[in-house]
Amino acid sequence: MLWTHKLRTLLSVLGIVVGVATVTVMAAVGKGAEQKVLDGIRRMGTNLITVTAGKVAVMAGRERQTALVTTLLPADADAIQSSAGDLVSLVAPVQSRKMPVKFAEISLNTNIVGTSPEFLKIRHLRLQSGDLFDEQDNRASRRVAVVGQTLVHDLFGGADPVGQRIRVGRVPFEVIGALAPAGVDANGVDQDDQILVPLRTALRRVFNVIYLNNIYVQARSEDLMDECAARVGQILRERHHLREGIADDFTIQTQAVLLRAQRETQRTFSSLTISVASLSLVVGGVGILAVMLMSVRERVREIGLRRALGARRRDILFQFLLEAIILSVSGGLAGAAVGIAGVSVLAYLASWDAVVAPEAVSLAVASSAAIGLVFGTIPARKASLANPVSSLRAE
Amino acid sequence: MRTWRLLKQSTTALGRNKTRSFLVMLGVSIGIAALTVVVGMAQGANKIVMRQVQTFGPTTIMLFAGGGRNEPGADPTVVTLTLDDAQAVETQIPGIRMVCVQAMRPRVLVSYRDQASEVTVGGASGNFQESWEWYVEEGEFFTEQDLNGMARVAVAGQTVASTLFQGVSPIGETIRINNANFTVTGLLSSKGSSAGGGDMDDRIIIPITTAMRRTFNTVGLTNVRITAMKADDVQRVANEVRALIRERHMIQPPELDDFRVVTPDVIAGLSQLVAGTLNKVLLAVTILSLVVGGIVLMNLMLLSVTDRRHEIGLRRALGGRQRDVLLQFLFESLLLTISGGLIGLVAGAGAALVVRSWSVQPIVLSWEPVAVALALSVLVGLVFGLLPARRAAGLHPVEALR
Repeated sequence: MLWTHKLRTLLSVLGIVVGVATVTVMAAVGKGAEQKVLDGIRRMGTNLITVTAGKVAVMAGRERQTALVTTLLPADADAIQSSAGDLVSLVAPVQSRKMPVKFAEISLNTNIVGTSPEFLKIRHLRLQSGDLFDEQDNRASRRVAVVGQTLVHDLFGGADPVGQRIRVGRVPFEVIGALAPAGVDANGVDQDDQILVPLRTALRRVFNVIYLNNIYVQARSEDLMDECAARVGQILRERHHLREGIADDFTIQTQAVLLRAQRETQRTFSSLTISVASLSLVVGGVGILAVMLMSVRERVREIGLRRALGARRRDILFQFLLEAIILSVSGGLAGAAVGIAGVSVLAYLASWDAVVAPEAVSLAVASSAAIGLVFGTIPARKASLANPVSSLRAE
Repeated sequence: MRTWRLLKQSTTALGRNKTRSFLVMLGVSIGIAALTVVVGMAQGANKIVMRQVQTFGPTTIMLFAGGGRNEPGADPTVVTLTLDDAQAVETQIPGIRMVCVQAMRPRVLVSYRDQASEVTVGGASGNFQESWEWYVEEGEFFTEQDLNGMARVAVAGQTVASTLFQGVSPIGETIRINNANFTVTGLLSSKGSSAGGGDMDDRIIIPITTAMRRTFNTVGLTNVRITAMKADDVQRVANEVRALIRERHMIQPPELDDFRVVTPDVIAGLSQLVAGTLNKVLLAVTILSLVVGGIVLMNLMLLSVTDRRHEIGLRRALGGRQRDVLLQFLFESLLLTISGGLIGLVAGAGAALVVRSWSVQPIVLSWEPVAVALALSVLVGLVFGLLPARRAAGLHPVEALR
């Protein structure tokens, strides 16, 4: 029966296909954009928790420790990694201090940061050239350094510094890498004005101390920030033997501005995706509804004829129900396929980060099938109930 | 007269088949309304997210005093960067939105009653809040009058408030900075830590005039925060700032700079990424809604005209000419799509306004996509209403009647 009216069948299926495919693509585009933007913000360090010995203030684009506290130790960082592993993905211990650095005839002051290789990942810094030091360099306290862009400019005049020898204080170091420029962060702090060296090298050969002034902790996700900060605080209080009533000898902080921005962005995007997808569902639904209503109305005469020739009501109802099921289900599935294919084409050709949202696809298929069924069957039922003579007379 | 008759004929034909006309109009108006709302929502989201990224400062350039041999920033012996330099930057370099100057000192002794703390104190110009995207949460920022009168007023950060005042509201209280009395007029919102772990909230902001003349007694600025008009103009402005300050400080190239200009590279990258992504989303959403609306309308027109082949044959058999039939269908399609489109436009704008006032979802209404949608719906209505009508009218009447 469906084949005798090719155009009508085609149009009904097309309506459903387009409805479902749009919801799929819209939801995917929204979700992809959300992930891309949130990833961008995340790279600024939304899941970063900073533990500071005592407290550290920001002055003119640099962090400065305001009081000397010697209780934060490398072992504390190891303890956080091992006993909060379910909340924490990366930990980087840091001892940093301002020191004079000398290359050729130029000498200037910069931040010497003794840390582990994880520091780069946690702070989302990238290398521009050369390599980062590894665990081996750390264990052997090798004198190797990775320099920031400010120093590449001021110390080396913009030339590639890899392989050059510098002096940090009086200790000679070999430059093995240079950081890519990061510029000032949201708080106006210059992130390029630093030299990274292995932690053990810094502690034993440069600063001659055994304590840290920072531990950077990366939480597994932004939702775990509070829990993670609480756990880290608890671990440190225990390890530092702080009895109840005694104030912390450390400060735990998050980047409030980034977290706020991230929350707001997430909220905006999810409500956008939901409303866009549901609106296109409505438009597609109306399309399906209209096509179904019209195509059944067109067949009122046919229904009358069948009834006049002795078909029972249930036969007609069953026939239309079956037709509607075939149309809606095949249309819905084809729509999902077209939508998913469209998403992959978008992702491939325009390198869009569209992400298929299974909830949206199944919701679209289900609701378009439901609409097709209801509006394909109801008018048919009405026609089958009417007197065959009047149906036959219908235009 | 002829046109009038045609119009009357079209309206009667449309009126006779109410369901069909209603369905076509519904299709057009829902399509247009949905497009208005969807595009508005996408633009609204665009605005909100870009606003968030703006707070990171993709257009800000930091100019620090010191550099080269000198320790950059906060060294009281560096007095090379002056108010005149900042003013020269603002007046001589085009494309700058604002310039905020600061003179800061670390570890200044600040006390309140029997509580004392070492806090970073910064003198700042009156545009501090806008420049740093850092606003007072309670109370007020200092005024132009305070700046002119070198008033002893201070705005406190959250950490200062919690360590010094321990829960008491600091507004209106008197604190001592370097042994001079200051009245706290405002409390800054929380910024949390910087990427390097420095506590941004552990600071006090006072008027720049008070700081330079009364508290620190200096002519040197610590830093200048320069906000460029456009994000893609930041590098040019930074280069011109470097050249200008070098010239003013009479520094010849091999000589090291006594200042440092730093641009927000990572943040600018993020801002570009976000803007690019959002524009793509907007484009995709608009095009998709247009395509869906167009296809739905095409379906409806095709169906409704094939429905009427019988009628066309009858008209032709009764002596109607081919052009008469076509003209009638042309009129009918125009009537349906235009009125449907207008209804959709009104409904969409109304829905957008309702959503805007009832929910947090922001909506920005713009006319371009809606105009395109209207034009497209008329075009689709015409093409897919006329083509099958023409085919039917071209048939032999007897054929069409069958």
